[in-house]
Amino acid sequence: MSNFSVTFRHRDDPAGAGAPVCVLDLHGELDAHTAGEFEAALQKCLDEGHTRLVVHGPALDYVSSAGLGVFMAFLEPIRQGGGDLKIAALQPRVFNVFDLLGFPMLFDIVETEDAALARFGASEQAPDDAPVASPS
Amino acid sequence: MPFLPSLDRSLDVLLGTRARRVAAGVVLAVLVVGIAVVRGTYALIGTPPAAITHALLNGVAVLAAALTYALLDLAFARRPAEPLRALWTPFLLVTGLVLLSEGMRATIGPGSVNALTGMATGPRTVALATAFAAADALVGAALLLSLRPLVLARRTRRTLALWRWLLGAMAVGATADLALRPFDSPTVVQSALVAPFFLLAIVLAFRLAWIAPLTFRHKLGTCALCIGLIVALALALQQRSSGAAAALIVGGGVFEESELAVVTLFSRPLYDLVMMAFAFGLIYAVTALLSLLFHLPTTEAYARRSGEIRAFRALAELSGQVLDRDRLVSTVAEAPVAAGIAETAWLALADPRSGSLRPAVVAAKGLAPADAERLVDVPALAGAVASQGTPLLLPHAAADHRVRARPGDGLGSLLVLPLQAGGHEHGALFATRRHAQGFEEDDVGALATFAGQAALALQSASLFAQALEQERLARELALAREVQQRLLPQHLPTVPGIELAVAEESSQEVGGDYYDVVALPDGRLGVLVADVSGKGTAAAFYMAELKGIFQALAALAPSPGDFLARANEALRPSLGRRAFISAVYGVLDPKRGTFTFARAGHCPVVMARADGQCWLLRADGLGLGLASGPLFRHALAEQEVALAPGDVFALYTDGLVERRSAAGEEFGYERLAEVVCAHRERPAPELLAHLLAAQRGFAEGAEAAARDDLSVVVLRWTGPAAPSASTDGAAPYVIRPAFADEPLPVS
Repeated sequence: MSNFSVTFRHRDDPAGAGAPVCVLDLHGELDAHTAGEFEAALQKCLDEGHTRLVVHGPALDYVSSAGLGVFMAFLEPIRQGGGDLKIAALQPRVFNVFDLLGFPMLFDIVETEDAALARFGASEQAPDDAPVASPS
Repeated sequence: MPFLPSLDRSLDVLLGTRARRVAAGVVLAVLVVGIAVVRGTYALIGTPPAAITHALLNGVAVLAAALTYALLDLAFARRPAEPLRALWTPFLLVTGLVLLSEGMRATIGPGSVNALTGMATGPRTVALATAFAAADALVGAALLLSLRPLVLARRTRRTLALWRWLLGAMAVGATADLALRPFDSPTVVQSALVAPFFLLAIVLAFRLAWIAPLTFRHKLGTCALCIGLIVALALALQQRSSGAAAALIVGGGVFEESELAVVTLFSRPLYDLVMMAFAFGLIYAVTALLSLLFHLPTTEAYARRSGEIRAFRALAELSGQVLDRDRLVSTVAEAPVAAGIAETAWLALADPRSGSLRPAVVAAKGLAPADAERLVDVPALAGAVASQGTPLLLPHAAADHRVRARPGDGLGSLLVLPLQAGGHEHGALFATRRHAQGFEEDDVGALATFAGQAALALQSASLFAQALEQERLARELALAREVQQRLLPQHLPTVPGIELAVAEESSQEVGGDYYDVVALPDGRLGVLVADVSGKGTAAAFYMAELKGIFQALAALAPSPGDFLARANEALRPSLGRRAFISAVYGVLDPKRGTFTFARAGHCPVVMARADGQCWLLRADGLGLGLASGPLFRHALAEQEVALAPGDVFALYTDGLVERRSAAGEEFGYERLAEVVCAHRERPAPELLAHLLAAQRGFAEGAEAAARDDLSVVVLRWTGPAAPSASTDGAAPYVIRPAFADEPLPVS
């Protein structure tokens, strides 16, 4: 029934500075039933010592409030660890859900994975300044 | 043979109470003393009794012996067959008797017996004979009673019947001699009457079921006791047949024709009875000894076999422990050790509920779970058997790379059995033996069967636990649902110029939808629609909190943005890190002719105007609980619409737009706006009914399980146009920051 999955990749930011970035590719629907899986994946990244994470979402078809809750839950510990959780390449419909809740004010949401990596390379920026991939 | 059981019953009645038993004891003593007195009298007189008197005395003696047996039987209530004790008691008694006889032998000297009459020559001899007879009868009865639990170890009806036949045959064999004098030779018929006794004795001597289960040490001990008993009984028999009265004065000479046992002076049939009891004891001890010697080498094999039987018995226990998973896992881990097949055993399970797919040791027998993990690579071995589905036998465990045990750890051979319980839960049962090649094919087979059953029991246990959990959740949900229902407004306020319609649909689960409509001072109307993230009880509690905040603050807040900012402040500490609430709060002011709202991360408001124009109004704003006060206020905007007659607003939760068609397509904002627009001229309740019908029609045939909760509030303004309302097609609203004068928060 669940058609959600998460896969991991590690990439270096283009500036080559700092630790490798953990890229999580999300597939399918992130809802109350699959949120646990996503949470476990994020936790695994943290357990492995990664604080620089990119959620890569071109294959993410749906996100529910429970799924958004996972993003919220991890944002603070990741930032406290000196890293960041960036969100890249969301489908317009999914982005809209993030956008309605005001997530672009809290998260760095960018159009491509490379853009997200580039932002890790650049100095820390306030998420407010992030250009937003606005589909509407 | 109906007469023997009825004899049993009549004995039970006769000796049923303590008083009756004491009485029987007294009778027994009287009988014995009586015989002694009569015999003594005849000895004094010097003439032998008449044949009939002699036979009568003998009959009374046999009865007394039977009574002795019955009384002893009752006095030492039937104990369970414990071989060592069963043999130890008669060994001591017979040995004592032999020593006693040997000591008293000298007291019966020449001249004690008249060889012509076979009678005692004086009261002293009679008294001695009586004492001997009593001792012999007691020991004989005790011997039979001691051996009986062994003979009847596997208490079949047949063996029980044979035992009674044996007692009967003894009685028959003894009473055949009723009229014989001490030194008379029995006739052929009389001798033949003893044959059934020997036949039965030999048959019963092979009732040795108690031997096989004994441990090696017990067998050795029992062997020694058997040998002791054989020697003691042989000595006793020899004493009695070659006689205490080897030299008797006959007239002036010595009686040499045959030798005479002292007891025969008291009663020859009693002597026969005792001899038969001793003979049976001897035969039984000999067969037992032979059987013990024969069984000694197979002790271990038997122990294993019986271990397997115990393992299978444990299977039956498993199903009874399905309700208690902890006990079940320990039973499973203990079974191979309890069955004697393994020296240590442990159970490793991967439990997805604990979030781990790695099998971990959940129960161990013979060692600590941590040691088990240390000795072998549990996940690797469990994974290997899980994938191949058959037991893995490592006869030389140390040679396998997944075994970390060192020589001193006592891990010679290892058997790993897969436990496929279906579903996600899987694992393996590990059994070890100290020596290499410690497991035989039978062991593997027995444990594999056991593991299969154990897996089923574990599966049942986990299903049961799930069912229990589901029931608990269902109760919790029902409660949450009730709370949720009570939180929704029971009556809608009526305000002139405003048509109001509300609808809510609950899905199977308890969602976090909430809406409320409240009449505010100055004729204003406040409308709140909110959606708590997540579902279930927690969502219901957040809703309750939001309702409290709404009821308390709505009337006080000067603007929708102010209300939401205060709600954010109030809710943020109590909302969990991952929980948030999206809300939209609008205030319709009939006096000013405005509808002003702020959106805290909620779905856009649908607005339709009488002329057919439609908007999705989405002023900026963060969800409640997502950000601290300054950031929240900074992000929040208010949107104010100058009302025109016929303006329609729909406030709703995402369940309305996210409902999907059978093809998987979402209802969506555009379709929602179209439907609202199409029915904009209908009264609010009718419009709402059409909206829901359209949405339902769209979702027809789709999976019902995918449905979320939905709530809709429709407002329709029928009052006059606001003075500021534009009619020229320009946007009818203005958007302004809710907290314009606040600086951007410094992050």
